Amino acid sequence: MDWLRDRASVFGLSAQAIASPVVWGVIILVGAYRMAPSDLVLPVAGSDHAPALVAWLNAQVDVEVVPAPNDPAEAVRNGTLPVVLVIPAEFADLIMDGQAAPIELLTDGSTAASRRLADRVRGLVQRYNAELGSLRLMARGLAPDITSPLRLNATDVSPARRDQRGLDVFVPVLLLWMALFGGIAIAADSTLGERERGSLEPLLLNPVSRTSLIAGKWLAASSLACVYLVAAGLTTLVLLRSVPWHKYGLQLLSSDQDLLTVTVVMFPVALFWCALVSFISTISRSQQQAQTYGGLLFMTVVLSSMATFLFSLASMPWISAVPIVGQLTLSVDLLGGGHPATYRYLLTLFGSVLPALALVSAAARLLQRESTVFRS
Amino acid sequence: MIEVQRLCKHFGSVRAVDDVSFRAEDGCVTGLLGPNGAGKTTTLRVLTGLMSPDTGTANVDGFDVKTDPFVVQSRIGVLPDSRGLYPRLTPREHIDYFGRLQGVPEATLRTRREKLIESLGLTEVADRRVAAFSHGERNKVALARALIHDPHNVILDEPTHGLDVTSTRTIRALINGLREQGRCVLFTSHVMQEVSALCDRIVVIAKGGVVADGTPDSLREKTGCDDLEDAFVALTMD
Repeated sequence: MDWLRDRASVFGLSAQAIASPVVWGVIILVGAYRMAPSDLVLPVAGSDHAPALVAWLNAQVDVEVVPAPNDPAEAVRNGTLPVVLVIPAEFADLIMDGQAAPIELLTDGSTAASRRLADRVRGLVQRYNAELGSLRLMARGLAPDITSPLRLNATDVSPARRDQRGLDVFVPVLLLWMALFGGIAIAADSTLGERERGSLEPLLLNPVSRTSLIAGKWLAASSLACVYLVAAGLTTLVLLRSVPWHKYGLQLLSSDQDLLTVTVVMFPVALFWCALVSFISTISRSQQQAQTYGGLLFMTVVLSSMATFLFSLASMPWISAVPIVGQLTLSVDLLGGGHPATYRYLLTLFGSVLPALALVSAAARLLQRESTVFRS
Repeated sequence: MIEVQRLCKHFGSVRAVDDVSFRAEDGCVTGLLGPNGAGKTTTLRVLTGLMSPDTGTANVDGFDVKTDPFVVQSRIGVLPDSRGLYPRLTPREHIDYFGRLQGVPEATLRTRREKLIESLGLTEVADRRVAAFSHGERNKVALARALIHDPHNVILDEPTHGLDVTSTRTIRALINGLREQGRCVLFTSHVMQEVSALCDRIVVIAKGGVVADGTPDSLREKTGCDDLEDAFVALTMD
């Protein structure tokens, strides 16, 4: 109750629970908007030298050829234009002679926009190249396929996770964040805060076991984290259902039930993390020491989260039993349209709750020691 | 009744309490005196079950602190050295919290709480957060918290330390009231005037051991000093 009356802390966490989904949503939306296909306005220098190519480009959907400035290289270098296609004067002659005609694509490799447009222009030029080559072969009475003995047809049979563009990642990461931070203040206060406030000694003068005291604080912290988790989960659900993601090329595969299941899947993380922080609060001699331990823990969480998204950890069945990583892999799988087996849910539950109980028990045993109670 | 027999407690090579024995009777106020670092606080911590003695025993109403710590803790009310209040809780909430930890039934808790608030003069501030309280008000809240379960034995570590005259009188009246109710009161203080006015018996500890145990008059007689403060200095300087 003492913590609940700390308005700044309560407001801060509530804002995180409600505002974080909105901020994440906006970030993904902006990213999707920037990544969405748009009309390609292609500046071309020397378009008079290749009227057929320019006409072909203009005939493509979403492509518009515009004249390039006098110094195209400088325009790209100073960022005025992302790309410029330069057609040399000898282009027409070389084409007429049946030789390879060089054209130059000026890009700025240091910017993502330039790289992205350059890829599109390369694709267009390669298509024109292929069409022109085919026409030349046909003019000589040869089948165009003679130069293409192989044809690769790639078919993506995965659930359309790609189309979610981060929607499947943002939800579990956001909920994990709330599971980690929702109850951390109470958990951190469990022993260290009481000792620094001078209230640990009066508290231990009551006929209550150390296990009950630590477990009570652990459950209070975990419950608060779960409340914030539910708040963040519901806000996320409302957000995901309110935005027309398909207009931005995104597709949300998960159902309302999937999203709520992911929220519940994170509950054991709250239990585990609050127990871990309570344990650290018990072994730490000072706030500085606790913060050092906390930093190491967060680094572990960040690295394990990165590993979850970089590697296919879900293929290893035992990974579900690893706290945090297990919940992340399960959530990403579920939101990606997968159907995780029941044993994975059980592994994530017991893989977090059992270590949490062990940590609470260890903290209670440590609190029996005089050196823990009167540590200075 | 509180009884300590041949109590010893070491911290590494430091002998904090060395063969301390005394008895605090029911219906009496027993003062535990000694210079800083004499071992008073360690003795009280052993008595309250927060520390284990290396050797010796400490009993409260016949229950051994080591083997029956919870029984002992339910029979003692302690005002420890560190008052340790929660800044955002009110006096009423502090008292309720500790009453519940002591297992006091809700109806009894309400009655006792209001009585303590009234007797300690906390009525006007009973629903204010203690963060802005004066030292005296904090002391009173900690005292009310220690007495909510109506303990038969009361241990007070410097209960009037840093208090103004009015608050000191309130605390002294409360201690006298506890004695009249037949309770065992053991308290520490550095104010000899207070010790002289309140204590039926005095136990003086110095360098970890008991150097004197008797009534205020017997200590004056033993040292040949008319003033209790002079007697205390004579006993602890030897």
